[in-house]
Amino acid sequence: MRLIGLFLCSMLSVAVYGDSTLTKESDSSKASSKVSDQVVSIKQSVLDLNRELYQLEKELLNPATTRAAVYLSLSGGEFFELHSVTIAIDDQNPIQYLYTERQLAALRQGAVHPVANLNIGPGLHSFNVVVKGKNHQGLAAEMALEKQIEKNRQPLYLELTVADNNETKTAALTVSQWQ
Amino acid sequence: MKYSLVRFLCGVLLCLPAVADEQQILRLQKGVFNYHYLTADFPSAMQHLAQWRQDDQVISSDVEVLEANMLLSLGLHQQAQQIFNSLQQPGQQIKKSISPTAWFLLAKRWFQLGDYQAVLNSIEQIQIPEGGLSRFGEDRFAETQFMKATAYIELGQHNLAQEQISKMSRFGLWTGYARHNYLLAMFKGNNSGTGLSLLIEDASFYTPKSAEGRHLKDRINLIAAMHFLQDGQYRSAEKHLQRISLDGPYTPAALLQLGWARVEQKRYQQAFQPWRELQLRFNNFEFDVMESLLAVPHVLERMGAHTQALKTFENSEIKLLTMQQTVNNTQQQLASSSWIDSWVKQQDSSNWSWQADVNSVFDFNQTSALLKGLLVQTDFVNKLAEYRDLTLINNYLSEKETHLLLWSDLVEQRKQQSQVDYAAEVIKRASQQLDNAYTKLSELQLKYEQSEKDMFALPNALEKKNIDALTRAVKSIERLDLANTASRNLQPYKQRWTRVKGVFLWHMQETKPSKQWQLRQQLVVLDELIKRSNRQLLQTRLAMQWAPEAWQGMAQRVNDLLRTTTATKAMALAAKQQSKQQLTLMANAELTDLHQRINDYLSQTRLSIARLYDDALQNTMNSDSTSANLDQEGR
Repeated sequence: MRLIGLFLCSMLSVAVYGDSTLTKESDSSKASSKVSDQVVSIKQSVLDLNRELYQLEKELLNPATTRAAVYLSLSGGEFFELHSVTIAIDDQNPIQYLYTERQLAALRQGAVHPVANLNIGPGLHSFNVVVKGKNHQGLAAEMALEKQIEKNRQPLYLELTVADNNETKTAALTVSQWQ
Repeated sequence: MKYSLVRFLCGVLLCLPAVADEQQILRLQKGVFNYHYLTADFPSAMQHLAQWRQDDQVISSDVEVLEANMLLSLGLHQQAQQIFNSLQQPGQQIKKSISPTAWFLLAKRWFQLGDYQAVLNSIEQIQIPEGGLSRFGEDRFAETQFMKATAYIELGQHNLAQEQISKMSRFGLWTGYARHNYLLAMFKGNNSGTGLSLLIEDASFYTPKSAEGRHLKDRINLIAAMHFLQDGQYRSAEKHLQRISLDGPYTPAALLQLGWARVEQKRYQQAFQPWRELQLRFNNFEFDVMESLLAVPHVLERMGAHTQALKTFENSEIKLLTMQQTVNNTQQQLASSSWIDSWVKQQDSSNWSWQADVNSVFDFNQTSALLKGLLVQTDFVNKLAEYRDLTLINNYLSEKETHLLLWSDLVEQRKQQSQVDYAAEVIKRASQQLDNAYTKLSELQLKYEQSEKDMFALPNALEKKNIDALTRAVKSIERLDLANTASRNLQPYKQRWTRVKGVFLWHMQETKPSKQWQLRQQLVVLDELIKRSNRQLLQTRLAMQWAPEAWQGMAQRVNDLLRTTTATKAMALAAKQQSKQQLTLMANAELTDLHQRINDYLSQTRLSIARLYDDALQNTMNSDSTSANLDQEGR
């Protein structure tokens, strides 16, 4: 008789526990979805904020009158494997950038790398670029370019292009500019 | 009419270079967006997209697909859903240029969210060009086929699923997963017969030889064994259980079920062997091990070995009590939440949400050992990832808050500097220099004007020396003339002076036009320079006049953003606290469950012990009464 009593007690405790679990679960799932909604809303706010911060920093650091952006793109990429680029404008400290495999893969798919945002005044400037990498034979190769560029009061866009030349089986470095 | 046509054509021709430049700049912007997207720098990609929108540029539908993907990856499903809904409207033309990868990623996300119709819709959009499979990726292609087959299974279209599986590579891992899901669907539908057996054989045979392939094979064998156990086909179940490896994640369940399969066949002695193996190899907190602690004495009892069963139950009781104590101690430590923070610290990836490489393995300690069951639950892992996202967002916002405070200081400094010190001083100096230049210009102009009247105008250094010599000679002759000595004749000196002066004058007159021309040129240049300097000075004055207002605007913007950042940070912090609280609650509930389970096993053990003692007592009493009866009969 005592054994049956014990068994019933244990079953009862399990049943009561089970009920309380159900109630807790429904409460906790409500709270959980509330937090998830909050997280989504916070993420959206952070993205918006990030965008505004980016704009503000850009305007503070690079006003339109002095803004000069340098981009780099690949055309082909068979005869030259890009490793790094060094850019120097006038007597300013040179800007250097090393490329990872993932970034190179993106460039090969037609993406354009924003290498640098600079501040230069209106007028003539000397623009020097050195691109280092490997040629199609696996040997170290280097391409250099020196040019006088003129900046007016509009933002200046400079695009460096490393393009393959199928006839000579070499690559060439060119620069284009838009204002 | 003709005139207006010419004007129009001139206008168009003048505008052409500007339009071309705009096109090139737009191309660069698109390239940069692609760069950020392909290097998984989604926040930067979103910024570029926002900038396009701000510039009122048309966003193509392929970019919108990518945007939806990014939103999905950042955990913003609803926003992504809106974009896809708008793209899939009947009137909308989705460009063929949308990459198969974009659709694949979308299908994968829908699959994770369990929207199987959307999975099929997205997969239908994947169009791999001929020879483009290597670029898309063979593994990715196989995963696409797996998702398609599973989506059909989930939607109850089993024939289509089977057809899809038959098209897949026979030994592929994804094919194995598809077969596994198909088998589960068959079991749920209470299917049986030779066909099912063949399916099981196929699924477990055609798996790759990798570690993942072996685990999949074990899993297929385990689900098949469970199905046969439920069906009462114990020999078939045993056959599949014996195929499961001894070093995989399904080993504990396989060993436990193997014991039960033998017990059901009344092969009691043989049932002990897998359970002994189970208890030796695995932790007592494994549910299968816990069950085996009670299964061994239970079978001993069925074998009639009551004393051994009683002793084993008593040993199990001691073990269960120790485990209960451990769970209690761990539960008390959970409140500190240090276990979650230590997990967050060990994460390497700094990305958010879906693309984040979240390591769900905890440091090996008592807490993580007890929460092992929870760590395999998707809901808990998602909650952990959510907590981690909130921690990262909080850190990010704190960093930005510091940056904004620094910006605010900088803006203030620049404003003061431009207002007070530097610019004012420079303008003052420039103004003085310009005044001096004006004076010099006036002097030169005067000289130029006088040069017309003066015979000796515009002399160079030598000529000036000669003029001085001539002047000195005049004075000398005059002095001698005043002395009036009778023996001295001054006439030859006067004639000579006149001749020299005549020659010098002639020379000066000859070079005068060229000198005047040079001076005029210099005057023009100087005048131009002075005018330009004057203009620059004027602009600088204007800039100085307007700069403080510009900086004031910036300060306002910085302050606004700082306020927004602080508010968002407060929200994120509150959400982080709630998320942490939820995780602690979930962990607590898991340990309570474990405690309850141990308690149940303990109760059953104690009941069995009590029952065995009761039986023994009754047996003793029965045997006593029998012997007493026999004694009475004997007397």
